[in-house]
Amino acid sequence: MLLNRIIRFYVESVDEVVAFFRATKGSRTLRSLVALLSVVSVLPLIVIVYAGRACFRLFDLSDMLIAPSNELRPSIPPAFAQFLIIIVSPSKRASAILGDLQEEFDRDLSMGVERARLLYWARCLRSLGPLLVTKIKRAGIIAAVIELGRRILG
Amino acid sequence: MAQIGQLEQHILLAILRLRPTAYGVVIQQELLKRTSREYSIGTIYAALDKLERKGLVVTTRGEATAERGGRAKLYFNLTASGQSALKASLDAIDQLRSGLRLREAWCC
Repeated sequence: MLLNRIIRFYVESVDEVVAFFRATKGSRTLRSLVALLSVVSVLPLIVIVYAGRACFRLFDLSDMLIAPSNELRPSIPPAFAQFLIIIVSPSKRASAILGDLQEEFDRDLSMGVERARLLYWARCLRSLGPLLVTKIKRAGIIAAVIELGRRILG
Repeated sequence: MAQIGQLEQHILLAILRLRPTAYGVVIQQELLKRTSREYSIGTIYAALDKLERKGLVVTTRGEATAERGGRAKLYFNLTASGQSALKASLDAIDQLRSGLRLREAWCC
């Protein structure tokens, strides 16, 4: 994965700095400061990579947002909620998850369009957390950051 | 053998009941019907993802249908190791329960 490669490259680069500090016998406070700065500086990089990937996936999956049969529907689910689900879902699951949410949306339409859209938002927001946690675990970000801190602090 | 948690155990049992047509929404509804717990679709798929990575379930892509906005269903089924893990998990609960009477355990 691209993100894993970037993190690995980053960790290896930081190793050089760590080796320098160890060689110069820098104080523990100084090393902790470098560790903190290194971890903080990697976060924007991760955000940029994820935002970029989300944009690419949005273009790839744009046909999912407006399904072919939507022209005949009395209403369609909120597009931004679908966008959020696409971002946080594993790529091979996104279509199935949106399909399941669409099924529930269609069922809720009997209660009125506005209520169905509100329920759709509620379902999406409830689903974001678990899907995001899964995605973070799969990307190995937490493991990479822990490994980074461990290497720097020795 | 892979260890499974309570939600994973419930999902495996739901798949076993619903197969070969077990997919996200129907698994969610089965869990609501039988356990009175309403899990979000995200929770169900996160657990299914974990089970698939452990090799306990396999997925099959169904046909795209109009009522799903032209999106295909993803059917889940248990693998042999999934059935073994489920059996081991249920056996462990049976072992823990054997000889216990819940009312006595509760009051004392």
